[in-house]
Amino acid sequence: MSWLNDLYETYRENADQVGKVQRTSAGKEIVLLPIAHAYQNAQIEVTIMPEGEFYSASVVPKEDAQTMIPVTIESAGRAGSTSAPHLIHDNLVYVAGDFEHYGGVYKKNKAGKNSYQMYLENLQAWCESDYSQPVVKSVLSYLKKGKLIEDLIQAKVMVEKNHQLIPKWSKELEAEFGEKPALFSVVVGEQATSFVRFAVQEPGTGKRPLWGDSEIIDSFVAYYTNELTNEGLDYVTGKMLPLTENHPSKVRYGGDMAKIISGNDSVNFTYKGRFTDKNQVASISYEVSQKGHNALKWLIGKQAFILDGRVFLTWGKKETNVPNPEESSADFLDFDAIFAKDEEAEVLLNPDTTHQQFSELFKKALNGYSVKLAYHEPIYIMILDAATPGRMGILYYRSIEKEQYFARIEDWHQTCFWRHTYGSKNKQRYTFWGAPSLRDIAEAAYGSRASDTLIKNTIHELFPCVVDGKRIPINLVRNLLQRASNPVSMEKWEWEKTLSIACAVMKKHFNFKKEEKNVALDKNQKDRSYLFGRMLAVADVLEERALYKAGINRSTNAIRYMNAFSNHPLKTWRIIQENLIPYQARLRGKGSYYQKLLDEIGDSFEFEDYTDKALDGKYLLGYYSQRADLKKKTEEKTEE
Amino acid sequence: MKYKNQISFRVEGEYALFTDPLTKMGGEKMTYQVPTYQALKGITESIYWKPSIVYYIDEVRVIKSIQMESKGMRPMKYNDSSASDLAYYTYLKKPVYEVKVHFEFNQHRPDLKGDWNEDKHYQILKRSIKAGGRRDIFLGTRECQGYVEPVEFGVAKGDYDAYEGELHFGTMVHGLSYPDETGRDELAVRLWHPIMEKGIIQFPRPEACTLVRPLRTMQAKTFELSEIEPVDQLFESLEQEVE
Repeated sequence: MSWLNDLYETYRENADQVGKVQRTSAGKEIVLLPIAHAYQNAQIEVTIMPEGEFYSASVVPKEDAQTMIPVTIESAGRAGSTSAPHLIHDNLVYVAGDFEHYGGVYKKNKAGKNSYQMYLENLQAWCESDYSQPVVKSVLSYLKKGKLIEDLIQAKVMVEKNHQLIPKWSKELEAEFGEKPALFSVVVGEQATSFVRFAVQEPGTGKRPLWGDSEIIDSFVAYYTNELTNEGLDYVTGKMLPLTENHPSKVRYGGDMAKIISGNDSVNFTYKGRFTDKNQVASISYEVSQKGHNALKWLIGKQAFILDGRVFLTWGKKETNVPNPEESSADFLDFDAIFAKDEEAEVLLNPDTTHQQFSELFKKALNGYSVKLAYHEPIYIMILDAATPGRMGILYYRSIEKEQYFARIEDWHQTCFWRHTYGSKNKQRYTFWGAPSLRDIAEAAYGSRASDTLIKNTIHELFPCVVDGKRIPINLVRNLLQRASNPVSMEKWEWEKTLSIACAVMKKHFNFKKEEKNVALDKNQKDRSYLFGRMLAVADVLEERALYKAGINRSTNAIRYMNAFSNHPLKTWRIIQENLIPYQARLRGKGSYYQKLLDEIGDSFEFEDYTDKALDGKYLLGYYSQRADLKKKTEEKTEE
Repeated sequence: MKYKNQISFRVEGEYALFTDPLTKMGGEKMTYQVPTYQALKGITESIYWKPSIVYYIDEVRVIKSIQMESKGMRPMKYNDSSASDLAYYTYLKKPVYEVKVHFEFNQHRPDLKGDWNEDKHYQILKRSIKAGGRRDIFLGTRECQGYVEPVEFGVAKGDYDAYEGELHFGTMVHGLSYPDETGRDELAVRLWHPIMEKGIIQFPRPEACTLVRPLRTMQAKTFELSEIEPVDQLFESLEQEVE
């Protein structure tokens, strides 16, 4: 399907979420906005009696200011000098009939009507329609009296001097009026720019706010969509529906002005050619545009991975939460749940966990997602970014059937896997077997100090590797090999992390031992890079043990020569071996064990493979597995 | 074969951009997942075309799986050569299609009746496909160069051969109705809901599309029969040259 239609369908599937405030794990408030509604910060709250008399007014504290208000196409996009009133809740310049009495100036539209008149007309039209609500009529009949500011001054919400609203609070005024009124600490500009929201004091039930009220929302949506007249062919649904030319901005975050659908360049040949007007390019219905964009905003707020402005989003139509291709294998697990059940937590904290055990946990988590989704249900993947502040491009869009998507995700996590020990959650360190997150891969390849732009582009490049089964880009593989071969350039923990990530990628890249799900040492492996890697590990462990015995703490020759070794294994090996002799002597009996091991590895070489040609990524696998094997053995011995 | 002059060709390229009109207005172009009827018609017309014939695309077979790749672009501003814009374009990556087409004579051009020689046009079309087309082939937009060769439809292995079920692409542009083919002095756009089965999309004829939106008035370009060199005349002159 097309991207906008998929979003539109997602909105319809989640219609029961509309208007409900949810919180993300980071505590951010997100909501699936109803159509023809927007968020606005209010500073003043006015309560009215049902028959249209003033009841009370108060200043809205900052943390409570967000208000969901009904808007029209024009008012949602109003800016600067253009004047278009919202409905019900609006700025003083629109709602106050006595605005000019107190030194304000109304905005005027082209027909010469002032903003207050426009506002009243709009509200009147709604109140006279079949969709009217008695509480809204109360607001109308009160505002018609044109004494809002007078009442607000009497209620001590606003302050005047000589029949003029005081623009800014100053120290001198304190002597005259006493303490600084609350309004001045919440309003950004002058008093007169305040935004007013209304509530109605109903007998018996008490105060009823007119924002976020589902009855009023539904009534307005019905009224407004019925009012829209310019019907035309909607390119998304293929139906005749009321159209809009204005499409929402603020898709990624509050102040984001980039639009996905726009068209304000009629001078250059952006869309021209056979078309003479942007409306000829495409027409989109108001309903689809609103619902599609609102669904997108909601999804981005809820579950997108955003880096340097680029949005990576994955969702399902009915069950919006689906596993993200960016995540590492461990991210799939709900650690809070696991750590609650102690036995399983033990599994993760134990360095001897096997891939088998982790794999089962992973599968369980994946199944948990999978059962919530219907058969053949599509999963959508979207990547968005803006090259310029005004327009946003769709950089990637795919819809994949659930079965295929989960098979791809599982395949990625079962082939790009290695043993990783860098994870920690809830301050508990854990070991996991599986694929690192795409961000970790990118950072391992280019260093943690690499620019966000480079990292986001790399993640972008890796996305199709997960969801389309594409091969990992060769430049990334080379970079990882380069960095993992250069342990002296970074701290030990960082190198260990880079090494295990590099191993995961190398295993995937070389399709190394495809069927086997373990990282254990393979003594029958005849690959020269693998064998050279093993030799390096033996030298490393041997020297490390000797140094440890002597109480010296420094990096071994093997580590220091690793970079050179990866390029010229034979030449460098001679140097490493010469340097090993004193350490071997120091270890006495044990030294001969390592020598025997080295001879064994040497024997495994095919004669013609024992050359000075540069090594490929498999040497990292050999190195890692041999080192892990040797360390395990010594641990077993010390336990005895 | 349903039509006597039906023919197939394979077209492929490194990239394709069949711009989704929703993203075209603002200039941040993103491709549709499959080619439009109009794009394939344009490709066929680049291979060989005369005003007396109208091509009908019967079906397209998507051989390679649909993949997208985005690029940061610096399109030049048409009216200000000193300035350039910044945009992300999203292309289809390595598309390969097999296209089945046939032609009919343009009934709105009875004046060109003298050129209604089916076998002649069919033979030229066949030769033109073999030669890779008479003009540049491009997939959707000018920067996506395409390459054409003859093919036996449905023989090559396709990535969607074993695909179970249908793939829906929502509402898509089918093509544009130009005055010289409809007989009306108007430009109109046709929409439809394509469905892909095992990689194959069957196109309805333009007249069969129900979602039609008139865009603006437009006059047909005129051609005189005298501007076209009849093949018999060409043959005669060649004969004379040989003599």
